[in-house]
Amino acid sequence: MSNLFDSYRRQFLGGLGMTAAAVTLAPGVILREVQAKPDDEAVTNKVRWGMLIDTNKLTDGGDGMVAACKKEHGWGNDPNASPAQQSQWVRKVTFKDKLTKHETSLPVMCQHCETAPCVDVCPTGASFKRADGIVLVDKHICIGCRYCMMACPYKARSFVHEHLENQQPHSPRGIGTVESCTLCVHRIDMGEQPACIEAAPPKAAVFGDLNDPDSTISKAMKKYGGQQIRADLGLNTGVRYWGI
Amino acid sequence: MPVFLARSLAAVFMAVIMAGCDSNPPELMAAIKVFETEQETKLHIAEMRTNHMHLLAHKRDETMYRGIRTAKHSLNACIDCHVPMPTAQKVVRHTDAEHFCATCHIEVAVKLDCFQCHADRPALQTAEVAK
Repeated sequence: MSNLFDSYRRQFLGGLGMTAAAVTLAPGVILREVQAKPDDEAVTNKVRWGMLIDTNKLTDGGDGMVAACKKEHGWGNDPNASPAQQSQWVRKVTFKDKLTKHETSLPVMCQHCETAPCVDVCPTGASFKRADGIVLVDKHICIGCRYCMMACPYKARSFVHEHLENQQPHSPRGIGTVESCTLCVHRIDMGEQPACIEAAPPKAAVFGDLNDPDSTISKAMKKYGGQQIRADLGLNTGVRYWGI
Repeated sequence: MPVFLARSLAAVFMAVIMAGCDSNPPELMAAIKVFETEQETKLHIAEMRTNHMHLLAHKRDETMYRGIRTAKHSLNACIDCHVPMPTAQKVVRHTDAEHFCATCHIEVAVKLDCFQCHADRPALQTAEVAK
């Protein structure tokens, strides 16, 4: 089945003559290089979506990215939740070097691991990795056991404790299920960038295909590397950082 | 006399029960989109009356796991057409009996879990664009 879809995809891309060029808004400012897949075509493992965040260029330490995520998905203002219970799809983490006293802030969200511990521990299969590397929760199947929250070394997942109203149509959230960064999967499927990337200061965050050696993100990481948080765990995260 | 009374009471009682057995669904709120032909409308109604739950469940998995976000059989597309745009004066919620989904689900007493997570009305942006 997937081979069939892959061949469709190849034909379609061939027909396009690979016109997926980066659209530039002004010299040096890349607006988009994510190509929309045809609507009726399934995602494949030919791409692996990833993100690279340069903490030195994050002038606001990631506040803008966090705010954009809140606005896009509507989390963080659940009326009956205590501050500790509020969902947190992405949070700003600040650390200070003891010697230099240099402070670094970075937004930490689901790192979209290649070998995700949350997927390993899920008893129902609700926590899964999509073919294109995005780690998601199928809330239709999630029973709210929160094993994945325990397993995640990045503290990336949250649990919804209360009945919610006024959810965004593109981002369903509800009582009794675990949720986390979806890498704005609804946007990616439409060929758009995640909301946080659009809100980040210029050149501070790049989103793209890690499997494509010619993508901006792959080129940048090949040249300068891309650090993982807790690289010792060997999870091969899809979200990478510079300057941490 | 008591026998007659009991019989007429039974008749009234039966009539009430039989009224509940009417296979016609309750009056539903009109959709925004109108099909070009009456036949299309009838086919859509017939298919959805019997199969909407299966189509939605199938589409749900297609979207979730394979990223297929076409409008056909998507819950958001149903809602966009069948539930009125929210206005400053009125927002139709799934808890209102007049909500397209709720009208029937209340009638047949089938609990509807979709709207614990999913939006039960078109997006506010959609409403703004439509103005």
